[in-house]
Amino acid sequence: MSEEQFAMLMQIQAIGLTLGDLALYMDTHPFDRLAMSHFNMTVADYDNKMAQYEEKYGPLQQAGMIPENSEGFPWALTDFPWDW
Amino acid sequence: MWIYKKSLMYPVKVDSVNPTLAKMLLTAYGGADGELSAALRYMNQRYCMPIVNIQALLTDIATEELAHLEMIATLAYKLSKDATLEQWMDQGLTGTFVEHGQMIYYTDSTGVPWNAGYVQVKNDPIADLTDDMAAEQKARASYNHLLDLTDDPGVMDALRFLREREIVHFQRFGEALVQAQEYFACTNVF
Repeated sequence: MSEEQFAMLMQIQAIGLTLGDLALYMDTHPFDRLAMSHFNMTVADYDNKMAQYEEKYGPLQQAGMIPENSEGFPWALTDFPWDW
Repeated sequence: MWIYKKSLMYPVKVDSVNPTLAKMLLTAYGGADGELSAALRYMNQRYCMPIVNIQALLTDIATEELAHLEMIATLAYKLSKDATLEQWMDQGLTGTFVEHGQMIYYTDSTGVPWNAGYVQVKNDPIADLTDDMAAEQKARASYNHLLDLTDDPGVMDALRFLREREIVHFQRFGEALVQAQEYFACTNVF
């Protein structure tokens, strides 16, 4: 995995953690408007970065789009995280 | 249903080959207070929770515990995959090697296999949430013990992250317990 790909993945991981942590907070504070607005901004950022990553390196989730120039099914051909 | 993402929750880097440390980490894999026990306990408790937002909390924390389980598996796998036969023998791990080779398995750090008796489910929201708070503290304490026993910087970084997450979960379960108590105070007339 190239340095650039790894850096993008780390960003996605970090934003994903923010989303997960905000979600836990909103599970017990479901009417916190400020948290909801922060969550929405973070979701937009997350979707954007995921799309950029997947277009370049293939899907992180099974339902991700297969890049047009891909010879095979990238989900089945790219390393799992324990082998990164 | 669940969707898998091909990514760890937090990056895992290991700086040594150390099957003994890998075996110690199994407390968080298949131990009484480990991540498997936690994930299955919260998932199973969802059905008796009277308030939907606590069902959401249990679902989300259970899912996160599965991501922790994968981090622990990755740590143990990376620590043991390149170990030589001499290392397994010198470190007194021949029994572990005979049973499972270099592979991780659902036991605690002493080799006791995981069992469903670790999962506390009473069909009583107050009892279950109180127990969940204790479970998070016990998981935090286990990570403290593990941090005392290792000086591998990569492993310590991952363990510190996991320990912090257990503290967040403890906080959220505490809030859920107060909400459940308020719920029952409103709906019961004595």
